Amino acid sequence: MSLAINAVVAGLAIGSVYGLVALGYTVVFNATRVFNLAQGDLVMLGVLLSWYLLDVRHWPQVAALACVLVGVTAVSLAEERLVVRPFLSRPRDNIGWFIATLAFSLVVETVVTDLYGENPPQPVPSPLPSRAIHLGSVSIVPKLLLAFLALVAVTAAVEAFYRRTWLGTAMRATAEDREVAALRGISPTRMSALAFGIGGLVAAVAGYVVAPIVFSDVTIGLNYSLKGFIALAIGGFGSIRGALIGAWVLGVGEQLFDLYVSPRYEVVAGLALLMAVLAVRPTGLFGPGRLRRV
Amino acid sequence: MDSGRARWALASRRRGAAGRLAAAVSVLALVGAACGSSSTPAASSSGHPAIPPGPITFGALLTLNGPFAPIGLAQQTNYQVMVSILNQHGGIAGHQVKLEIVNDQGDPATAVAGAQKLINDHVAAVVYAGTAATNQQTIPVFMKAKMPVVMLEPEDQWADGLRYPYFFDNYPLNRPTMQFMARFAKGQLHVSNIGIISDGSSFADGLQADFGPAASAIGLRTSGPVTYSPTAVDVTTQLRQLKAAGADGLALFAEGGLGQVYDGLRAIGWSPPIVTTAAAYIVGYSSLGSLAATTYSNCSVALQPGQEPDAPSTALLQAVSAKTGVNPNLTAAIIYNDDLLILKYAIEKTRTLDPDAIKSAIEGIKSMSFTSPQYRYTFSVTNHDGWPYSEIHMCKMAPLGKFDFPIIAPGG
Repeated sequence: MSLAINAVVAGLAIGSVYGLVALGYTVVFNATRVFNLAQGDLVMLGVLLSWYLLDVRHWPQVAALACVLVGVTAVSLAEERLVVRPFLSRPRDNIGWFIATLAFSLVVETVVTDLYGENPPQPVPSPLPSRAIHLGSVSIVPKLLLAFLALVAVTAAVEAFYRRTWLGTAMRATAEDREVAALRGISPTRMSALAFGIGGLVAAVAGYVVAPIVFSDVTIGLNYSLKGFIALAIGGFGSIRGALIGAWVLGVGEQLFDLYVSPRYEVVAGLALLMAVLAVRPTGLFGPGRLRRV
Repeated sequence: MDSGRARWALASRRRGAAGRLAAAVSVLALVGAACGSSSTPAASSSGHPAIPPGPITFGALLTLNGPFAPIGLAQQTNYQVMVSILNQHGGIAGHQVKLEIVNDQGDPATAVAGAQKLINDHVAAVVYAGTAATNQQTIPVFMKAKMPVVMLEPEDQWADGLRYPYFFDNYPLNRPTMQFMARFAKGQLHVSNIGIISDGSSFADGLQADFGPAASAIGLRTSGPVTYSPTAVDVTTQLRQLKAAGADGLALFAEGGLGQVYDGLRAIGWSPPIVTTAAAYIVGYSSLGSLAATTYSNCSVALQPGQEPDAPSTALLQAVSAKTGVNPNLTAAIIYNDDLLILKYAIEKTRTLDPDAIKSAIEGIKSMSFTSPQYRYTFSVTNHDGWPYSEIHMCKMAPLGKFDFPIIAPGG
């Protein structure tokens, strides 16, 4: 029984990592109807930048975090300007952004890999102690707990932004209909830049939090992009809470699958879970309900 | 025209055509002989074609990106330095040596295409045919093309000289290594139930396949195996499974994600004795921390406590470390260098690049050393693994000796 409980606790923490990626997808999607396929690689960029500043340059944690936030957000804004914006002004059924964001992710991965050179993955210093916290038979390391808390905090902040600020309302309006929003004086271009900026901030937080867990690994981008996408699909496209719940469901599902079936086929667990959820709720657990004409 | 004249006319036309054809063939043969005579080298003393003018090119399939890139990138630097040292000392039979490296990206399809490229580029031999993830596909391709391959490869199957006549291995095989590891875990570390954990790679699967039977044969119980992904966020679930199954030791077979395993052990407060492979010196080494005191790896190129490396090894490692820095993977350069020197010996002995001649020359190597006098290789027609089995050891992960040589553990 304690194995199962520990698996659930580990799954919530692991799912939190996926959730930070899924949240980035959601923020960008909600404002632009674009899936930023480079989101996972932006997280990877945050991880490597954290490693470089903390392990190589020995910066203090606060300064490193500030630099990671600025750096990753800048790259995300550059992506929006160079790669995505040309497609946003085209007809809505245009999906050139799919190839463009995928290409951008490959560029980011290639550049980072080249800069990183021959080094194997290195440990990244954590702001928290490494001793596990024990609660009875359950134990969790502080850096995984940080991932969980970061997801909750970032989710709450993004939700508050959307619901309580006019900028958030403007972003949702732009997502509904860019032309009408423009007629109302909302600049779609600024809204999409803002969305990518927030997406970049979320990726930066994810990278900084995840770095001490995954080490300085340049190959995690694609894996996290996929896991984040699965989490998003389970939770429901466009739903912020859905991204969070979907990520936890995925994380716990994977850990229980590892425990009771086999870790060798863990990727199958996520996809099987996705198919099971979509079979019951095609729009995801918290996706918009289906509309029908009456 | 009546039938007789028609037959005569037809026969005449046929005779004329045959004559013209014969003349054309003769001209072509003369032209071919004239062209061929200027490029076909004279025969060597063994009767095989002599080494053509120009550099001798060796090929290597290395993984230069992906999770296992650190190994490939280190190999690339090692081979480049060693080839330049070889050339500084006159190359092979007076010919400079070139190295053609192809990135197999850790993907079997890409590796096969890379192998074909090396064959099409007429390299003389191959010094590395890919990791366990890709060489299952590439080695048969090289064998079909009669391409000599001399490399470090622990898989047992490739040592069969009758099935893989042009493949030569200068590294200990998995089966005897795993047998030694199991005996060490039971006899020296006093493990009674060893938990097996791996990263699910082909490399790890090969080791597991030999370790399980080796452990059973000596009455060492096993738990698991369990696997984890090298990019996993957390592996504590798998470790807890093994601990709950009663494991009092760990056999870790992986090329990636070792740091996550060490972190997971610390997270659950478990410090079992660990036996693992030499990949642990490259991947996750700096994450070992206090676990280094109870972690042991198989090692081939190693030193006894207090021993100094011999002069030829020192010279080689000084040259390589000038480019790479001193690191725990440095000593593998001795084995990689032996790949080159074994081929050098075979080519200089036979004065040809003919694969059958090279094959025979290598099979004739008996108790011969190359880089270091400590490692004396013996090959035969049926056994193409030349490694001296007196040089299989288990080593401590820390401390390391000069040039980061692993130090043989007590009883190892």
